[in-house]
Parts: sequence; C-alpha cells; structure tokens
Amino acid sequence: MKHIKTFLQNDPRALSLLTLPAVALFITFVLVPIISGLRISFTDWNGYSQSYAYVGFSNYQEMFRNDAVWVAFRNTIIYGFGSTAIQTVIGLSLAMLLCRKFLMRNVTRTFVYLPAMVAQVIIGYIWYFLVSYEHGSFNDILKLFGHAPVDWMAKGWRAILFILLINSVEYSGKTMIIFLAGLESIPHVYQEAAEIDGASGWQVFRNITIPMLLPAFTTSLVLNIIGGLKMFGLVVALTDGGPGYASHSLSSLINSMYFANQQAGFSAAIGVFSFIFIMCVSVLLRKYLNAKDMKYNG
Amino acid sequence: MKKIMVCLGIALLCIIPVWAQGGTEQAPAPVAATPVKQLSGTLTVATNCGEPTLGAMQDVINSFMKANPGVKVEYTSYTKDYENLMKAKMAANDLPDVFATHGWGVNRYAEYLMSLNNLSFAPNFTDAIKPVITTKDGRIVTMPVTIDEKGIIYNKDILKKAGWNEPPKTWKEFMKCCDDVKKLGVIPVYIAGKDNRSQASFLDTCAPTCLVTSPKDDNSKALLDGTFDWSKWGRVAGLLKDLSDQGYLNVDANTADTIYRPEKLANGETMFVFSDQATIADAWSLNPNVALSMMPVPTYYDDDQPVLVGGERESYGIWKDTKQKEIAIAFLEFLAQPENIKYVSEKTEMAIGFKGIDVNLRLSKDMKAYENLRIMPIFDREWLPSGMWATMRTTGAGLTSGQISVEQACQQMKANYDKLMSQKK
Amino acid sequence: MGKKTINNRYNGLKNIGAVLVGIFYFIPFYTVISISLKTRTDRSSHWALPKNPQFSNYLYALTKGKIGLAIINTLIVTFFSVFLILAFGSIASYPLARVKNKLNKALLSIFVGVMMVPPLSVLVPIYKEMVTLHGINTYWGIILLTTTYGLPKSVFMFTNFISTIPKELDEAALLDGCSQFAIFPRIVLPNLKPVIASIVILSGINIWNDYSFQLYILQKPKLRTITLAISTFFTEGRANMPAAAAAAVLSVFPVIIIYLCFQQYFIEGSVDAAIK
Repeated sequence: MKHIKTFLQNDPRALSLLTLPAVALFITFVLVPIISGLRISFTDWNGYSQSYAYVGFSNYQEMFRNDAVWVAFRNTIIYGFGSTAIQTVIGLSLAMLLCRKFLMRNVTRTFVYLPAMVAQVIIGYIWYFLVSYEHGSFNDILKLFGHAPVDWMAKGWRAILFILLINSVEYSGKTMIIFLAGLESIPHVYQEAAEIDGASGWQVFRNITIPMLLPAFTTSLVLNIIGGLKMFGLVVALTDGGPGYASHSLSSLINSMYFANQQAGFSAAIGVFSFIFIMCVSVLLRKYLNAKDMKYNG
Repeated sequence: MKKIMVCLGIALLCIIPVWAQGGTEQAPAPVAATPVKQLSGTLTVATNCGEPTLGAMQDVINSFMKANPGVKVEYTSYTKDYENLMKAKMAANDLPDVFATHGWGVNRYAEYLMSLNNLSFAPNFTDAIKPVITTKDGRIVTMPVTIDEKGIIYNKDILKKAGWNEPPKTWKEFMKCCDDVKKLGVIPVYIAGKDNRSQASFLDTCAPTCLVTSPKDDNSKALLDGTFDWSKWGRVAGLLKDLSDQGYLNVDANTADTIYRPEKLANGETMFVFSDQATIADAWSLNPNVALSMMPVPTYYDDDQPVLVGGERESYGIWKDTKQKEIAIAFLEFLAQPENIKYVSEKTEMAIGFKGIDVNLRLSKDMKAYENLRIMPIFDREWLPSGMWATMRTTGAGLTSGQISVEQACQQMKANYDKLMSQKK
Repeated sequence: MGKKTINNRYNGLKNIGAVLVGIFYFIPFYTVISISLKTRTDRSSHWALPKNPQFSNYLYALTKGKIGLAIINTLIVTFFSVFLILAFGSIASYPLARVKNKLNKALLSIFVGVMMVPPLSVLVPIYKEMVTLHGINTYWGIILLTTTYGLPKSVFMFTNFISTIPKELDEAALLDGCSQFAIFPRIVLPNLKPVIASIVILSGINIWNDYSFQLYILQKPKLRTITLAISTFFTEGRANMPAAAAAAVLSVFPVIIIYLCFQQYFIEGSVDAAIK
C-alpha cells in the first residue's frame, strides 16, 4: 500500500495515469476498428452477409491494378497539397490585408471566416448551384455577355480544378485566422528598426515577417495537408466523383466502393492504403518541419 | 454591441424548442381500420423512398396510429443512404422491425425476412408480381404497396409535333425519333448523370429487350448459369454510347442533378426520361397540364414485342427477429387494405400488385393500351448476381463521360460478373 | 510617426480591397438565401432576388424537416463532446508535455496519428462494435465516438501550449507541498484559457458539421442532427431546392451567432497555435 502511495506522490511516471480516459477511448473506438478493418481487407466480404472467406492479398493486388484507385490517389495528392499551397497564399494575403485596423476590417474578416464554419457538404451543394450547367449563376453571367452556357464540371480536369479552388477559397478563412494571430504577435519594434535602417517594405516582409510567421506556417501546413488529404464532403456534393470517376478522392472512392460495390474487403484495402499514405506524409512533414525549426531557433 | 448579440442569441435559442415541436401534420387520412385488439408498443419502419411516396405513406401510417392509439410508428426514409445503412445493419444483425426491400426482397434480404404466406393479404397478389416476391422455397417475403410497371416517360405533345402517331417500337425507331425531336430544339433524352444511378437505370431498362425477350435469342439461361457471352452486352452499352455520341443527350448529362429532372419535364424541355411514374407525378406537381405518359420499352429485334419492366417498388418486409411481431403484422395488414393501397397508388401514380382493387390513375387510360404486354422483371435483380448494379453504375457513367469504350464496358461487366458468380458458390 | 501616415495613404485602397473580398465571400450565402425565398417553380436566375419573398420555405423546413429539433440534438452532442474533449484532452496532455519519457512520447505520436484515420474506412467495424455495446441511437454512443476522434487535435494543441508554461511554476508548487496530481488543476488549468477557447471553437465546428458518424449512430428521426436533416432535403426525390436552401440557412444560423458573440476569442485562441 505504502509503495503505491509513494509511487503516486513522487514518481512522475504516475502522471501518465492521467492519459487513461483518452487511451481507453482510443483503444475502443480507434484501435479495435482499425484492426478489424485490416482483417476485413484480407477477405472477400461483401459488407453485409454473415459469412466471408479469406483471400490473402488479392484485394491489394486488385487495388494496384485498378485505374479508379490510382486516379483517386492522384486526385487526393492534388487536393491535399494543392489546397495547402493555395490556402497558404490566400490566407497570408488576406491576413496582411486585414491586420491593421481600418473601417471594413472586422466585417470583412467575418465574411471571410463564414464559409469555414459551414459543413463541406453544404458548401459543396451551394457551389453546385453556382457552377451547374442548368441555371448556374456562373452561366447566367456568361449568358449576359452573349456566351453559351458551359458545363463546368463536365471535363475531368476541370472538375478537379473546381473542387481544388472551391476548397481552397472557402476554407482559407481558417488559415487567415492563424496568420492574423501570427502577425499580431510580431513585435512592431523589429519592423520599425528595420525601416529606420532603410529596409524597403518587401525586405521587411522577406526577412522579418516571414521568418517570424514560421510557427504559423507549420501549424497551418499540417492542418491543411491532413484536411485536404481526407477531403470527402465537397467531392460528393459537387460531382459525386464524376464525371465517371475522374474527380474521386480516396475517401469518396472508399465510400462509393464500400457500399455501392459490395466489395467491403476491397474497400478496406483502399482504406488501409489511404491511412498508411497519410501517416507517411505526416511523419515526413513533421521531420522536415522540426529540422527547419531547429535551423531558425537553434 | 456584444451584449445585444448575446441576448439575441440566447433569445433565439429559447425559441428553438417552440420550433422543435414541429407542425402536426394535418393529413387527409384515408379510411381508418377498426382496431381488432389493443396493441401497444413502438414499431420502427425504414425505407428509401422520396416524395411523393413518402408523404403518401406517412398519411397512411398516421391513420394506423390513430386507429391504434397505443402504437407509435417511427417511420424514417434514408433516401440515398438507405442501402448502405441497411448493409451495415445486416452485418450487425440489427434491423428495423419493418423495412422496405426496394426490389431486393428475394435476392438480398430474404435470409432476414419473416414469411408472409399466412397473412390475410397473401392470396390477393396478382400473378405477375407473385414470382417476384417469392423465394425459391415458396416463402413470400415482402409485400408490395406499389409496383414498377414502367417503360420510358415521354411527352405526348412533343411526339405529335415531331410527326409521330405512336411511340417508337424498336431501338432503330427510337433513334430516329430522337433525331426528329432534336430538330424541334427539344432535348431528346434527359439523363441526370451526377448520380450515376441514372445511367445504371437506363441500362437496366434497355437490357431485357436486347438480351432476353426475343425467343430466337434468349440469353436468360446463359446469364443465370455463368456462360453468358458478354460481347452481347455491347447492344445495351452501345445504346447509351450512341445517344451520347449523336448528341441526343442533354449537354450536362454527367453533371446534372436529379433535382432538375421534374422541371425539365414539366416545362416540356425534354422528350424522354428513363424513370418511373413517380417522376411523372413529381413533374405534374410543378405543372399539372404537361402531357406526359409512359411508353413500353422498344425492342432490339424488329419482330419482337415491346415490354414493360416491373417489379417491387415500395414494398415492405418484416424482420424475422423482430420483437414486435404482432404490431408488425397488424401494420402490414393495415397497409394492404384496399383503401390504403388505393390512396398510395393514386398519390404516386404507381401501379399496384393486388388483385381486385380499382385504382384511378391519370395514366390508367394510357396504360390500358399496354394491358397485354409482357412485364419483365427488373434486369439486374433477376438475371445478374447481386452487386452488378454497382458495375452498371460505374460503366454507365464511364460511357456518358467518354471515359470508357463499349468494349471496355463489356469487359468490366464480365470481370465483375465472373467474380460475383464465383462468390455465390 | 512614420507608420501612421503610411497606413492612412493605403487605407482607401484597403477599404476597397476589403469590400471586394467581402462581397466575393458573401456570394454563396447570398445565393442560398435568395433561393430559399423563392417558390418551387421560380426559375429565375440565382442572382436575382425574388419578387415576392416566400418565408413558407423556412416554415416547411422547420416543420416537415424538423430543423429546430435537429439543432437541439446537434447542440447536445456538440456540447457534451466538446466538454469531454477538453476534460480528457487537457489531463492527458499534462504528463505528455511535462514528462518526456519513452511511454509519453509514444502516446503522443499515437494520439496525433489518430488524426489521420479516414473515418469512412472504420465505419462498419465501429458500427458493429456499437451494436454490441448497445450504443446505437443513444446520445452517449455518438458523444463518446466524436470525442475520441476530436481528442487528437486537442491533445496536440494542449501539449504545445502546456510546454510553454514555465516548469518553474510546477516546481515551486511542489516545493510548497503540493502533490504532483494537484499541480494540474491548481497551477496549469487557470492558464489554459486561450487554448481552451481555441479548441472549443475548432472541435465544436467539426462536430457540428459531422455527417458519417451521426448518420449511422443516430438513426431515429427524433435524434437526428442537422447535417442529417439537411441532407434529406438535398437527396429527396421531389425537387424542392428552396426548402433545401432554407434548411441550409437555418443550420448555419446558430453557428454564425455564436461566432459573432465570441469573435475575439477566435483570434486570441489561435495566437498560441501561431507562435508555437
């Protein structure tokens, strides 16, 4: 009894007990299902019957041969990294525009952040009404100029482009907020000192603002990439993966295949692949960012 | 300023409970049944239907609850998510007491369904629908409230204007008709392809006359025993491709949402739509005067007869492990009463599967002309293994978007067919 | 001072720029509000305002769509999930930030790793599990589930934040006779306000907008949350765009109000994320 008491009082390792609730939830709702999903990926289960058979790696083999999977994989990379790049640029620009106080600042900040609070599926449906061939708002503008209406999402690459742009623009509010906070935390003295020394606006930006925004970059980078790689709602609402399967992301493909195709095993394999991929990206990213961090702060 | 916003917010949050009461639906209740015994409990009923079926069913269910005050029926439609949800539920053996079988009663849900052979309405099914709802060992597993008896929706006025007295009878004529319609500036065939079930539905409707109806080229046996020659599927896939290539489809066939379909029909902007009577009812709710009707499916061979495609539409079965057996049975028997069947049928313009009930549909007069035509089961339910519908969806979408050729479509169908057939063993 | 004059010179341009940006971001909202006020048969352009605004669509969404009820359900799920995320996340982060041994480092990596699981790939195994645990159609079922998947972000942010609180405070408290488990509630917790605000907002919004988990766990109509209630409007057979638009507007309404009331916390709360 006394040992336990000393342990709890003095040994810092005892503090790890505080992680128990979180770990318990994790084991129940994450670990067990993942293992289950892994097991399913080795079967030919159709998703609902009570029986199935083990088929070894055949699901994985088929996955590598399947064109739709590669298209979805390529798209997911585009959505993930593309969105991040665009969101960073837009977010930073907006933050720079809206950091110092002026008349329209707060109102504009609100409008920019508004879409970020709305569910992807809903934003997707709203934008569908803007870009759809039938009565779409964009087409109405074209008609005003005498141009024929265009089916914007009809070509694969255009669909991908639109999904990419809509995702980046609508959710750059989140990035903007992070950069705003970062900008506000840069002590003005640095910039003033530089200007007294004769540095131009651009030089101030490059040598003072950007390095001091590095942590903000890091956070937004990680959040954006992971969010972009998991993108699902927007794809379903705008194109449902179409035309054909040209604009599917890995997540939307999993959804459509799992249930629609009655190939639970195959879909689980894609899920495992997707998970491993995102995991690798994240690990590499953190290694890279940690190294960069060292360079600036070490 | 902030204080005002907070107060406003709180005020709104207080009003929400009032909203949350929801409106009590003042439905024109159909004839209520005389309660036989005091039932009490809660019954869960799930379906995938949309309007107008949903509203009609809700009205009937409200009268059921009125007639049985101790019973609460939780009726939910999951529309697009229904199938996925049901699959998850089957995997976990956790099904609703009563659920819609949407055409898959025999081929998918049978192992989870209670037999209905002893219920009061069992002898009243028409001969056409009976084989569709009965398993190989004679169990009736689902009760159709409405059935599919469909072909292709068309606009009678546009047909006349294009110079045709009767709807086309063969696919060759169909193409020519499309051409004539196109010259009038009307979209010949409207496919709301964002949801690729539209393309799959098209293939499903065209398949029977191309592959099984003609006695001199009947592939049913080959389809069922795995020896089918999939190059013949090219006839079906080819139809879709031809329509697309010839420009007989709407420009946005790949991206149009089904939300636009009724209004295109209602405004006479399109001639043919491959869907069922409920879509016509939908269009009529927007414009009651548009002259829509249903034509049978054209044939591949010149000497063949057009057919209608039929099967379960809104059809309910009882979970064999339900804890509310009595209420579930009472529920189905209530649904099966002539007044209620008539009500749902007339609200949705859909045909019924019971003998001896006279329904007065707007389309009844038109459909009378096709009284003697054969009613073929829905193709993928009857002749293809469960799971091919998904392949029809992906190949259909691939064809309209130009991503795959007809040969590739046949190959993909064959690949999945072989895989699913081997799983069946 | 030189800075102020530069500001004034560009202020005019900034105002114009900001207005343009604001308008652009408002376009989707304008569109959906405009559609929601039209009748079903009105086929006018989405840019044009309706001649006779119809509030009947909102009534329809509220009654037939039971949006009010859905909002309440969503509030319940979100509130309790966020509470648990804060509670479990903060206490878990304390040892992970302070005691850097192998176990804790591993735990941290694992927690952050959960962020990467695409929820769909584990949906059916989770559903099966929930059925066995009798968690379907219960509030606690969905709350525990969303809490689990919201924990990683909060652990990530808490850990980062706590590591910036000087260890000296802890050590001083220990010297004063405080037990090590009491340090957290007494010393660390009071300092966590900014990051708590941040997490409340970020997690809250994610849970508010969740779809897949809620669809499978909350099947009973009276338990439905907002995203489920709205999606029915968009996928139903009958073409009722205005009602769907009205439902969408109603669903965003509470979030916007909360945002407007707590605006400054959004930015204040992001500060720590931005400077770590």
